[in-house]
This record gives sequence, structure tokens and C-alpha cells, in this order.
Amino acid sequence: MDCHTFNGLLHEYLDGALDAGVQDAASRHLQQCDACRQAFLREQALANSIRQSLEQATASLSVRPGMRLRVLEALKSKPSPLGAWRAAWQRFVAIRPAGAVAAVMGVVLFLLCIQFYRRSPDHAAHRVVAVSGGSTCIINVPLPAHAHVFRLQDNAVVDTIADESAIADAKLSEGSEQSPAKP
Amino acid sequence: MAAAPRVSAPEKPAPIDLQELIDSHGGRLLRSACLLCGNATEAQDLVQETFVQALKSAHGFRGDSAVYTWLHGILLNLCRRSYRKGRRLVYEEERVLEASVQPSPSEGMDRNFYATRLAAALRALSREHREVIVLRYYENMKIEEIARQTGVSKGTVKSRLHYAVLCLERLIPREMNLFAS
Repeated sequence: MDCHTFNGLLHEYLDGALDAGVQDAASRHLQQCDACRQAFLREQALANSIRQSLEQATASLSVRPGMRLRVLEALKSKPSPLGAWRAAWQRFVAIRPAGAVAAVMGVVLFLLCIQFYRRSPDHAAHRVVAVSGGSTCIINVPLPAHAHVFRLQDNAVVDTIADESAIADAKLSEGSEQSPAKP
Repeated sequence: MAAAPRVSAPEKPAPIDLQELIDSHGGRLLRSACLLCGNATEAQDLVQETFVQALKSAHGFRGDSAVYTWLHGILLNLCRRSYRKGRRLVYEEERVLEASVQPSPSEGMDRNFYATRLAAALRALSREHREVIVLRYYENMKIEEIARQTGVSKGTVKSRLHYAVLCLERLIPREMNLFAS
């Protein structure tokens, strides 16, 4: 092991978190290398020094009296509805993780179904039929070069998917139906 | 008639005794909170909220870690939330530098003085640097544990630790001999 590698693993070496082989290699390197040994001792001394100073700086602090009662009071206070829902959901996730995954997938599936339904020609047709008062109505649908053509025929709405030429015919016939007959 | 085999009931988690939690972990949590947020009063509030959150989420504690580690994880999240809300006291680096005048000979050897100065320097660090110093040196956590608690990689933890120590080195009076080689 070289010095660069040892320095990169110094903290893990101090933690004893290295694999046995690497830990041994680091120990051997430490015995041979003065610079790395100094770095190791310095880190140990620094850790001890900071720990002692911070413990001393905070030694006078103690939990204020009545902490238990304050905690219990805070627990009794009515949680917000959102917090209650969140807590219930977290409880559900903790108890039934598979159920939680299924619920999330169900919601996603439901939203996807709504999206597909909105884009479907049937959904568009329903919308147009409801507002259309004329005898013929043409609307564009997501299918390329196709459209729905609705005709009023024998008091019933006839729905056909047509290409561009049929749309043009429908428009012509619509025009001829609506315009007064020329003499 | 053969007796039906006895089915042992699943073990219920032991009920949490709040007073016992406070007695055994409250003090250390409070000192850690004070170092993390830099304010003793706010630290008391944070520890109180830590116990509230702990009791609310006690069902989620599966005993994978020590109770103190679990509580400290909650405390760390609360400290971060508090920091984001901007409720913490802001200590400018310059203020600490101004305060780091040469100590008089009488107080030169006073360990309390050094401890206070180090705590003040700690408050001048960024939140990330302060966190790694407290977790590493005060809480004596391993690099891997710090990475897990803070949600960053081990490399990031080591990098933050390196720069945090460099910052402290600039802020601490040389008389403290804290960083002597």
C-alpha cells in the first residue's frame, strides 16, 4: 500500500471498517512510513481534542424540567388533518408495504386510464355530439388523416371515421344542406 | 388425544417508557442539538420535538439500530428543517475572527475558554461542515454511519470532514494547539 492509498483510507482504518486484508496492509504500511504514522497520530489527537472540548463546552446543559409533560401535551394536541393522513399512510406502509405498493400502482393505473380515455375518439365524439346542433359535424381525432363525421340520418346520429376526401365531401354536402337551393 | 402444538404469539415491541428515554438519552441529545443548531433554547425545543416525533413513529422503529441512533436521526432531520426555516442564529465568520483575540496568560490555559472558543468556531461553519464535525468527533460515528445519516456518499463525508477541519483550523486560536502536528 502506498501513502496516497493509505491517506484515502485513513478514516476507515481508524473506524476498523476495512476488509481484513486491507486493514493488515494498512497496518504494515503504518509501521514502515513515518509520514503516514504522523498523519494517523494527528487525526487521533485531533479527534480526542475536539471531542473533549465539545463535551466540555456543553457539559452544563441539561434537559429542562417538565420535558415529559411537555412531550405528552404536544402529543395530545390535535394533529392537523394532513398530518393525520400522513401518519395513517406511514402506518399503513410500515404494516403492509406490499399493499402500499399495490395502492400506488392502482392510483397510477387509474390516472393513466383517465388520460387514455380523454384521448380516445369515443370521448371526443361524446363531447361533440352533446354540443352539436347541426345535421353534420366534423371533428379531428388523434388518428392521422382521419376524422369523425357525424350525420343526422333518420333522427339518429351516424358516426363514421373518414379520411380527408370523405371529410371534404361531408363539408360540401353540409354546405349544400345549409345553403338555400339555387334557382 | 394429542395436544395441539402451541403457536407462540408474535412478539410485541416493548412499550416505550418516555421518562426512561428522556433520562437515558435526553442529555446527550440536547448537547448534540446545541452543537448542531448553536442555540441552547432552540436545542431544548428540538429535543422535545424529537421525543414527540419518536413516540409518534415508534411503530416504525424495528430495532435495526440503537435507540440513541434512531433518536439522533430524528433530531438531525429536525435540525435541518429548523435551519431551512431560518430560525437559527447566524454567526458570521468575521464575528468569530474578531472574537479570537489573543488570550490573556491567565485564561490561556483555561480549558473552558478553549471549549467555548471551539463551540463558537463550530457555529461559524456551514451546516454541512458543522454536521460532519459533530457526528464524527462528538458522536464518534463511523464514516459509513455519517453517510447513512446525512444521505450522502462516504467520499462526500470525507471531503466535508477535510474542509471542515481546515475551516476550524483557520478559526481556532493557535494557542489552543488543537491542530498541532
